Amino acid sequence: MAVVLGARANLSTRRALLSVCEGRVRKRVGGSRPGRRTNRPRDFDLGAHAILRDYFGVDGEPPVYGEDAFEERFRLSRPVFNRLFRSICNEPAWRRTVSATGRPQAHAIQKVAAAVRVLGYGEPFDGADEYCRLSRSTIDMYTRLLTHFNIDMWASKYLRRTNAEELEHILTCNAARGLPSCMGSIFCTHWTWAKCPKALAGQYKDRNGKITVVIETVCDEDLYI
Amino acid sequence: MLDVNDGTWPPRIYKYTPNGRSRRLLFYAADQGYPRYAIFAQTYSKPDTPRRLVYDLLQEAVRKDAERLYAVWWSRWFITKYPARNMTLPRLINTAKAVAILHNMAVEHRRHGFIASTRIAAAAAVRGAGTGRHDGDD
Repeated sequence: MAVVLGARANLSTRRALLSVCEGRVRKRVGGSRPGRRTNRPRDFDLGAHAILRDYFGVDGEPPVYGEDAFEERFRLSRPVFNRLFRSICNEPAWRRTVSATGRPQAHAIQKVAAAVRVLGYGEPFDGADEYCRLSRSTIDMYTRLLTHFNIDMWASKYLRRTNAEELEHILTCNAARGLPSCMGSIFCTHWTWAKCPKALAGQYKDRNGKITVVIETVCDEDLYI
Repeated sequence: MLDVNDGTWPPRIYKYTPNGRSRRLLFYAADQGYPRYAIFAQTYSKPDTPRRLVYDLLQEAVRKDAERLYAVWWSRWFITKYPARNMTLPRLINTAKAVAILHNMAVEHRRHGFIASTRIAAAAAVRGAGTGRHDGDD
């Protein structure tokens, strides 16, 4: 028994170390295998139609929910969301594909809406299942793809040092507020890490003993990071 | 903060003269949790002169921006408010970065793009170079 436990502990440690080295645990995702449950008949069109009807309007009718609700639900105002969607909808991973059985797969709008909802609401991956008609593993995957897409596409634009002109603006602003030559304010917060691997738990303790990761940010008066 | 260590950031082209001494290093307003480096301007913990008291007030007003940022960030992107469910740290960092990007996009739109045109022009130049997923820090 002790040997078994030891072997198990070893395995989990090794897996944690592996995850640290590689950045992820490799796991086989999806695909139909004999002996497993078949895919649920989710009716992807239904989800896409619901989203289009509620927030974008179908057949010339106005959307059910207005601008306020749109921003509340997607956490982005409509122009910003449209911009995100337009840049993402023709990516190979996001556009509508046909599966090996010849069945059409989910629309891009469903995937984007579900992923944004996970980020915005912090809800579990199967939270939007009933509305967007996507399984939780799909939503998990697309949330991750959305983060990767965002970073690949816009990190050079939105996450970088301020350029000379912005710095000039910030310095002018802060001089008017009484602190000349101040580049902005820096602050950090703790983000609790619920699913921290045991192997790493000791490294990320905060002063209250919770497992957290520190996020550190610099921002200016307009809350531009 | 690597480029701060290298001396490539912040730019030393701005010259200013506090208290009769000329300096070139711009600074961030920080609280007492940060080390006492020249780049972090901290408050006096016991301001005993009116000058220091006023400085503290002004510095705290500027520092409030970053504290307000987290309030906005938490209330807009709830995923950063709840305990993170990611298994690995790189994935967690990616999530935070992606949320920061979306936040910045929203802020930029809300401000109707102050100096947005220059930002876009600069980004076009930068995007030609292209940066990877894991570099570039806040």
